[in-house]
Amino acid sequence: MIGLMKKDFYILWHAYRKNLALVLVLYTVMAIAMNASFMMFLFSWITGFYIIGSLSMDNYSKWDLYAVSLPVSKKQIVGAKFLLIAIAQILSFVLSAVICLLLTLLQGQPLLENLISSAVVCFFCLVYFGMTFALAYRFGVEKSRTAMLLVAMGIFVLLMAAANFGLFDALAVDPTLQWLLFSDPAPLVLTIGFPVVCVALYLLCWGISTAIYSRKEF
Amino acid sequence: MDAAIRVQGLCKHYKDFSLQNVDLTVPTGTIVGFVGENGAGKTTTLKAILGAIRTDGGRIQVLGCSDPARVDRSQIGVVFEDSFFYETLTPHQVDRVMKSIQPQWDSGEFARLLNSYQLPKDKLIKDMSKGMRMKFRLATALAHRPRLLILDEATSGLDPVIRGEVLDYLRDYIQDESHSVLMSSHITSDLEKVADSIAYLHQGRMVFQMDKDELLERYGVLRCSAAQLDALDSRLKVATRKTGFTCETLVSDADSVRRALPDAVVDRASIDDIMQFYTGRDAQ
Repeated sequence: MIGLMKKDFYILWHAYRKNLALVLVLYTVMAIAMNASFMMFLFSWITGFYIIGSLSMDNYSKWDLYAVSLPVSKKQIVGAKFLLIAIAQILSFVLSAVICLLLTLLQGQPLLENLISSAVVCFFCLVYFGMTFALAYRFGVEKSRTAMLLVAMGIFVLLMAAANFGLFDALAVDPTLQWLLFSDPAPLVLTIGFPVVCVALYLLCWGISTAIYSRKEF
Repeated sequence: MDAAIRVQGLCKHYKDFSLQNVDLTVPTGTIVGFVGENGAGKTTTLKAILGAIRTDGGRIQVLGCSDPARVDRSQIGVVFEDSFFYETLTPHQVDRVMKSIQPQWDSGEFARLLNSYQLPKDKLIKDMSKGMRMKFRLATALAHRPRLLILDEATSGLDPVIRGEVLDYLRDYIQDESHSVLMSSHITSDLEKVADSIAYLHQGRMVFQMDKDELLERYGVLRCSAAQLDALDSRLKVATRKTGFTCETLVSDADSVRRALPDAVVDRASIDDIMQFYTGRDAQ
């Protein structure tokens, strides 16, 4: 699996190193100059999209067929991609943390609040790109972008429909939800619960992707 | 003799194409030339052997193992015509990647092969010529000294000098009788030089797999008049094409034809001739 990750790293580094450097400088300057802390959240998105790009490069070089001839399993091939997503999110968080620190030092912005926001975005991206990978393995990279938009739109429509039908009115007074959001231990529950749910969904996407990839023909 | 690859009754159906009951054997210590026109199903057969596609019937045994998932792939080297690492990698990077993937990867051997093929270690694949890319793929397939080599059009794009070197390498490679090669190629002259046997796939069916020397000895191209041809036993005739007043016929037993028609000319048939006659016959 290390070899597969090395391969993707070399390819992505060659393709995106200049772009990454530019984005790093640009977003840092914008975050500081415009007092826009949300800029630091973008690293999680960008690095995730870089890794999705590696699938296009694999398709272009028909890598999957070549990989069949190597002593690596399909599970390992998918695993290497998912580990790369996780590593990218960790690195993105580290980058964001550095910018958070700069914003605190230069503008007195709240460090903990910004760090928590960055972590939330990283965990969210973990799920988002996990789902995108599963869709990419099922429908191909290009179609997966549309499929992911449709999924997001579907969720939005469902939420809107639920709100229109008054389903959230019932939830609003639900004692469990009240406790989850507004009780004293709520922040702790959310701090632990949100990452756990995200990691669980990410692992589920990993499993689904492995199952889809294992059935593929090249 | 053991077989490095044994394919029996392989079937694979697509909407517009089918492999039908393909039998193919690569005896250990031999080079099998795998020929057929474009779209005959050669690459599909190779994919099935590697487990890249599911089959609809038949049995495939590779290095003694019948389960594609359990085949020891560290003993296999593969060159596909258009499937490899992405083009922004360099040989140096591929060396580092393969060192982590192939348990028996030999960086020294890889460096030696790169050197002998005059490939710079830090040149991007996309900046290499077609011939250089093919040599690089070959070096990558050979650097872990696999027991079985599967080459799909591996010599296409190479100049005659390098092709000759590659063929020499393959001859040496099988000398210890534990290595085997399955080599698909449109350059049939290469196969005539190195292959021990020839397998001919035509429209998804295996026409024959035969010892190369026996094949080239047995088949012949008969040139005679239409009247002489009519007198010939039809079992000997494979396919005929008419050119003016003479007929050219591929015959399956040249010696018998020479005895039956002592006045006629029977030339040696090349693999190209055999393929062209079979293809022409089915086109008629």
